[in-house]
Amino acid sequence: MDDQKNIEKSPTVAAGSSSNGRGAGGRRVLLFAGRTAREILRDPLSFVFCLGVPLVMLVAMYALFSSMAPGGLFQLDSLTPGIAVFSGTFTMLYVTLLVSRDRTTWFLTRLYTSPMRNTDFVLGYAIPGILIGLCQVVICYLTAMVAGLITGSTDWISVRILPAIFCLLPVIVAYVFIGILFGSLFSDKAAPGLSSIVISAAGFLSGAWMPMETLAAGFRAFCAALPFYAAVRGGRTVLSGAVLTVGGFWRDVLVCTAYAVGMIILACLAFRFHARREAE
Amino acid sequence: MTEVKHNGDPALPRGAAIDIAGLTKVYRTGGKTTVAVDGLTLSIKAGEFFSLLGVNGAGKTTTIKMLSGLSAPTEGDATLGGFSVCKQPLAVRQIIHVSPQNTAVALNLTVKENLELMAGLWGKNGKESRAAADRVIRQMELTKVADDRAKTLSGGWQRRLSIAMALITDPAILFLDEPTLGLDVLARRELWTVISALKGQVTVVLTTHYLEEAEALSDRLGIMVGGKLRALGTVAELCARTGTEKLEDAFVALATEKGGTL
Ligand SMILES: Nc1ncnc2c1ncn2[C@@H]1O[C@H](COP(=O)(O)OP(=O)(O)OP(=O)(O)O)[C@@H](O)[C@H]1O
Ligand SMILES: [Mg+2]
Repeated sequence: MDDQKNIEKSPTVAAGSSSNGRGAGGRRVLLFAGRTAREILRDPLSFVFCLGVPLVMLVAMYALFSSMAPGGLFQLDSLTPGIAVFSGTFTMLYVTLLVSRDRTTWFLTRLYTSPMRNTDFVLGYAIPGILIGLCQVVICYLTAMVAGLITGSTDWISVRILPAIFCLLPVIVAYVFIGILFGSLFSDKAAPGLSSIVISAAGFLSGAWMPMETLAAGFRAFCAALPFYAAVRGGRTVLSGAVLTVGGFWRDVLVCTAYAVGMIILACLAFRFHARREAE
Repeated sequence: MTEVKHNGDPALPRGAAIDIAGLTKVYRTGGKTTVAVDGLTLSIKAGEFFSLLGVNGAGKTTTIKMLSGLSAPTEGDATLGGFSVCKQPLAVRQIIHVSPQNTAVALNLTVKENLELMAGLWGKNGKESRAAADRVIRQMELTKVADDRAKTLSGGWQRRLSIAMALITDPAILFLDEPTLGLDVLARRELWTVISALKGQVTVVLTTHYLEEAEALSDRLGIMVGGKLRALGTVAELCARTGTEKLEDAFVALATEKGGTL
């Protein structure tokens, strides 16, 4: 990597090849991002997991439990952010699988000899991942909106829906970079297992379908320090129309953002110092 | 940099020369030290078809990794087309392509998309990429699978795609690391035809465990043993040196010979 920096300063090379310029870097990211998106979206199973499973859960839980569960846990304004946060973990799984497979098939090794830089690779994986994750959230909310229209419980379907989607962006970013982190570090045999731990954690510790109020305060604080519950609670706060307080909503957003930033740093380090180095 | 590329003007020299001087790679993993390549010194002429032979673990892939700038040499240097791998790795990258030991293709992309992706990442614009993809599809006879996804291709076709992905970047030097690994006899022979068509167009460094392949294709061969170059020459020279008739016998004699290096 240090070699790269030296050579960038070398005038002969800089003058000799236009493909090393800044605009070319953007083009490489776009090309690689297009490839990432196609690899994920052309796998029919990714639709089953990323969309099918969450939407079925959303509709089924709402239809079955909304009338009987206490505390409104399975009402749309509570359930939808939970399902959206949970479903994002499947995007993480797909990013993990793609990155680790690219390592084991030596696809990345081939591209390491191209003009691609480490940031080009990471962005090329992350941008489509984040967009796919956002689409999942949007589709979850649209489905909830339709369900709400059908059952007549549409009071929250209003301007709040956009900020509610937007406040899940940090957790989506965190997921995608966890995917790049796991994919960079672990083999395509080990990575899915580790991802399923995160998927389970997102299922059980996010409070998506468990009343967190009944849990011990200490455990609840622990969950709130993880991005899952923080994100779900943030989404619920927005939908409820409650005042967005610094100690409440913004604290939750901050927790998720902190995880996102942390994962971005870890993923870049893992890519640079593990994925790239193992090819040496 | 264009002056070392093979496509376009036929008056230009085809391929680029490689000069390797004392190239050494030492891996330190845990408490273990492996000298994968040990003081390799070797010159390969522009346009030459050179085969690097050696038993498993002899250091062939490591040599290719160092020559392609993937892995920094512990000692020594090499120049490719006049550019030093240690001092000008980005310039080296512009003139080489490695077709790795594994197929290394994008599985959910079609043959054509794989090729266009490579062309684009190596700096061609959309129109140039499409034109180059069409050219390489014809050259490598990939027409009938052009719109198939890579994962639906058989091993032989995937290998062919892998070489096509290398060619589309217009390398002056092409590294083929075991390009026919795991192929049946027919698929291998077909690939030889394709590979031998590259002779004189581009400098090729090939590694293989199939000695007939090396014999059929290469101008010269080098035999590596334990990271060192044990022997270098044409098939006839190697056979004469060992008093054998076939490359396979010469290889066995040289690879098992105790001590002496070149
Ligand atoms: N990343 C690495 N870390 C530690 N040791 C390595 C690494 N890569 C290769 N080696 C060691 O270096 C030696 C040479 O390996 P190399 O892959 O170059 O052999 P090869 O000639 O390509 O063999 P094969 O025919 O099996 O492909 C082997 O002993 C191998 O174990
Ligand atoms: Mg090898």
